[in-house]
Amino acid sequence: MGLLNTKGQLQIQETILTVFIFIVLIMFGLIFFYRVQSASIVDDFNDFQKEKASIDFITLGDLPEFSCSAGGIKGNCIDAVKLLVFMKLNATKSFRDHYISTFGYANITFYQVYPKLETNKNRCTPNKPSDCGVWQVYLYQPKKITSKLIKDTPVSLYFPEKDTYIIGNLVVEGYNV
Amino acid sequence: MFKKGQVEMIGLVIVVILVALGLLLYVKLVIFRSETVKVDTAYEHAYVTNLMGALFNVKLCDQTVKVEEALVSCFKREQVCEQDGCTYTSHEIKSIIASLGVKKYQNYSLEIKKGSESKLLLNGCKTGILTSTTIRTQDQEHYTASFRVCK
Repeated sequence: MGLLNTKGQLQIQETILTVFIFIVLIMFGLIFFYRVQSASIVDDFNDFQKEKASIDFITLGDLPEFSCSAGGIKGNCIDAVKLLVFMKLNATKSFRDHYISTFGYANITFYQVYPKLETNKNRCTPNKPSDCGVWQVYLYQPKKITSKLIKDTPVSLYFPEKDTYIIGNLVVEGYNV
Repeated sequence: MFKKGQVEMIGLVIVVILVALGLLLYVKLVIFRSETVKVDTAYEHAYVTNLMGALFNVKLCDQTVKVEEALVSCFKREQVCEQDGCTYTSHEIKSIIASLGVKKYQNYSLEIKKGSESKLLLNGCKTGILTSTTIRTQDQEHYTASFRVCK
C-alpha cells in the first residue's frame, strides 16, 4: 500500500510539473508577444504622427492667415502682404501665445526661388517689404531640440500691389515632433 | 511497451518543440520582417498640387499672361507672346521647373482637356503622381489641366 501511494504521488507530481512548465512557457510566449506588439504599435503611431505633421506643414499655405483671396473666394496662392502682417502681429504676446498653441515648436520660412533674385537672402520685414526674398513668419524653438522634421514645398506668392506672382519655397522645421 | 512516465516525457517534449517552433516562426515573421518601402501618397499628392498651383500662377510675356491662360491658348491653337502657344508654353514651363531645382522628380507630363478633346504639352511620364485642376476662363469656359510627375 505504501509503495503504491508513493508511486501515485510521484505520477501526480510529474503531471503537476508538466502542467507548470507548460504554463510557464505559455506565459513567456505571451509576454514576449505583448512586448514586441507594443513596440510595433508605438513605432506605427510615431510614423503616423510624423506623416500627419508633414502634411500639416506643406498645407500651411491653405490657412486663411496666409492664403490669398478675392471677393471671399480663396485663391491658390499665398498673399505676401498677409505674411508681413502676420510677422508684425507675431510680436504681440496674445497673438504669439495663440499661434504657439497652433504651430508648436517650429520655424516657418518662405524663400523666393523664381524668378531668382541676387538679393534673395535679404529678410523681408514689415519695415522692409521690398528688395528681399526671405519671409520668416514664425519661429519658436525649444530650449533642447531632441528631433527635427524638415519639410518643404513650392508655393505661389502673390503681391497684390503689383498684381504679380512668384514661386516660393515654404520650408517648415518642426522641433521635437 | 513504454512506461507511463516515458509517455508523459515524450508528450512534454512534443509540447516544448511545438512552442519553440511557434516562437521561431513569430520571430521570423514579426521581428525580422522585411521593411516595406512606404510611400506617403497624401504627402506626395499635396506636394505636386502645390507645385502645379505655383507653376500655373506664374505670369509670362512680361507679366501679362498666366501659365494657365497660356495653356488655354495652346488648346485653342492660338499664339502666346506672338509665338506658337503650345511650343512657347511648354518651353517656358520646362525652363521654370528647371530653375526650381526640384530633385524629387525628373520628368513631367502636362495635359489640358475640354470635353473629349485633349492636348498634351509635356509627355515625360506615363505613370507617377497625378493631380489636376479646373481652369475657368473669363468667358466661363472650363478646362481640366492634369499634371503628372515621376522619377
